[in-house]
Amino acid sequence: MKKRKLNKKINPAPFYSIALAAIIGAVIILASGNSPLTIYSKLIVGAFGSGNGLQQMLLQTTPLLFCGLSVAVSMKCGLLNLGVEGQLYMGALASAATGIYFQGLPQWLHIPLCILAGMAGGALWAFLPVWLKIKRGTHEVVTALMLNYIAVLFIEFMVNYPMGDRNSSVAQTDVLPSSATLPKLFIKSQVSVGIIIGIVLAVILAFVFKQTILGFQITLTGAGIKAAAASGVNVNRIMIVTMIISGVCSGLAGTVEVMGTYNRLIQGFSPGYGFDGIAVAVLGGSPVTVIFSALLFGALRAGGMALNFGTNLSVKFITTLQGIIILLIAAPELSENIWRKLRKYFAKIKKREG
Amino acid sequence: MEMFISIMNAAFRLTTPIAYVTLGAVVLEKSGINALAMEGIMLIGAFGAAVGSWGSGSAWIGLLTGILCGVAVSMIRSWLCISHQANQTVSGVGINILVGGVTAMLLKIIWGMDGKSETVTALKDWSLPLIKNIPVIGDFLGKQNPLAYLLIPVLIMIWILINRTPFGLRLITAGEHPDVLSSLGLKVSTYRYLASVIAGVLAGIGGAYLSIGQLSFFNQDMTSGRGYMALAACVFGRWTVGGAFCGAVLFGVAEAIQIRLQTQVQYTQFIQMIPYVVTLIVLSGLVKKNVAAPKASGKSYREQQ
Repeated sequence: MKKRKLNKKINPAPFYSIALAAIIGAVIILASGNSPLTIYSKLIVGAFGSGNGLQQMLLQTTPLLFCGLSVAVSMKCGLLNLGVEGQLYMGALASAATGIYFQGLPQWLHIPLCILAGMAGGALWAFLPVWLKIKRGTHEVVTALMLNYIAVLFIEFMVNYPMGDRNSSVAQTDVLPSSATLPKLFIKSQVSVGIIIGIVLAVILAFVFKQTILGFQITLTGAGIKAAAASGVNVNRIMIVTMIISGVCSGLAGTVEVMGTYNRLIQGFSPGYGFDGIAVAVLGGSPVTVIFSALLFGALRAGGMALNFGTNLSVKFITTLQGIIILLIAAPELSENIWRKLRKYFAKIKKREG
Repeated sequence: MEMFISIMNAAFRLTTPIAYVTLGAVVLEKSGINALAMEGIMLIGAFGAAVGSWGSGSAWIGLLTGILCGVAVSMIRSWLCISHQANQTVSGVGINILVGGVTAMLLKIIWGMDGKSETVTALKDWSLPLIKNIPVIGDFLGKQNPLAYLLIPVLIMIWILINRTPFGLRLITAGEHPDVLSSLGLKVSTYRYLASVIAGVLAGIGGAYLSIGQLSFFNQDMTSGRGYMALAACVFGRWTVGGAFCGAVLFGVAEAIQIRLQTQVQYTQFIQMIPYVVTLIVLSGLVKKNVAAPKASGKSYREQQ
């Protein structure tokens, strides 16, 4: 009897794309007058070379994980949540406000309350575009993007005026009371238990998609709205629920940054995690694999900071790589074709030599 | 009255970049490719123009390099969508992220600065001697940037191209019923590529206007959502040239009012929100449900053999 294969065949497209992106990245590095070897080793040493680097990597991975999950959930339903950045900020604002204005609560009550507020903030900002889409037929991509700008400006107002720390020249709120901050994972580091919350969330989401009716209905809607509606799925309800789950994930990204990393809300604390989340989700695909792609991009970001010093490249080189990876994965036929051609080419060379 | 003129003057200046990109977005969407990447194409246009103008010392060469960069990026995106059946939404976002990264990276490589380029030569305003002397109109039409004047003939040209030429009809068919076009023996991909060239040129001009028309330097992420607003204007105008242009004017006026009010109010953040809020309200309040988007927009088409 044939042994039943336990592992499913792994989809090779992400690996092709990463390899191709690394090659294109090498060309860019060469063009900028650096040696790819030096830059890539600098990236790796920056992320894995020291305890500090490793902590930085985990620190960067945490928000990327939540944002990646958020986008991945929305993509399962055939929507692309481009409002993650705004949802992240609204989640951060809601949790910071709950932390600062509800003083004197015991920790076991205060922390969950702040987290719930953050989830609600993100969910509200994600609900608006999909609600407008269903009620008014509004282009959800454009509304989500506009809500990003509005959220960023609103947070700017909040941390400058009503919630601002008057003793500081930086636009930020007061420090959260200790009852509203997440415990740290290591001593003397900003890495909090937030990353563990993220991994748990990923596992829960994986369970939802694999084992529950809701997960099945979401996947069905993503495969084709008309077919899903014909088979009795309430498509509008599913889209709203999906976007709320997605918004909860993005809201948590901001919440964990506020309660775990900075212990306060700072203007512009996110360098575009919401958009990095798209790269993470597109590369990762399903919730559990998103953990790995978040780690990869977290490592790249941590390593990329080392490029800011001593080279003429900057952490923006990582953004460029992300863009290339997204494009390569968006066009799966492209990278496969290129690899096929490369393999043929090498086979020819081998023949000629042999 | 003076305030009205100054707002109108600002509105004319601020409408120009959005209007160019909006016209590009209409042409692209009509052909069946979604216009999400306009933000990135506009940004690379702004960057290319600044680099060209800085390198050559001539703003007109800068405009040319801006256009070339815009066309190049637009073609890369369309190549992925047309020849490799890429997901249009994801590839559009990918282009925007890629261009955001590349421009910021090159900013540091070329000028060694973060966030802002050195000052470059800008296009000088033209003043029209005859119109200048007409009382009210002369105040805001008499002296403007050449690209602002160029907008009017471009608008008419695009309108004629889409509505009155066989090419325009085929372009629309490529976006509505690609099968029909294919069954006539015409290649859908040709029309979609041509549309992306036009879109690249227009978004390139729109971007160049930001860096070497309005200002004289490149600023990191200086488009700040104008490409997305162009897409919104296109939806607002129900994918017609005239309607979309009206949408662009609306956003230009919103931005002009925003800038005017910024100096007079304490909480500037709410004033800065105006263009984005207007976009939201216009899209959700004024546009009727299920307006006619090109049927095949956002769908890749596999050419029949």
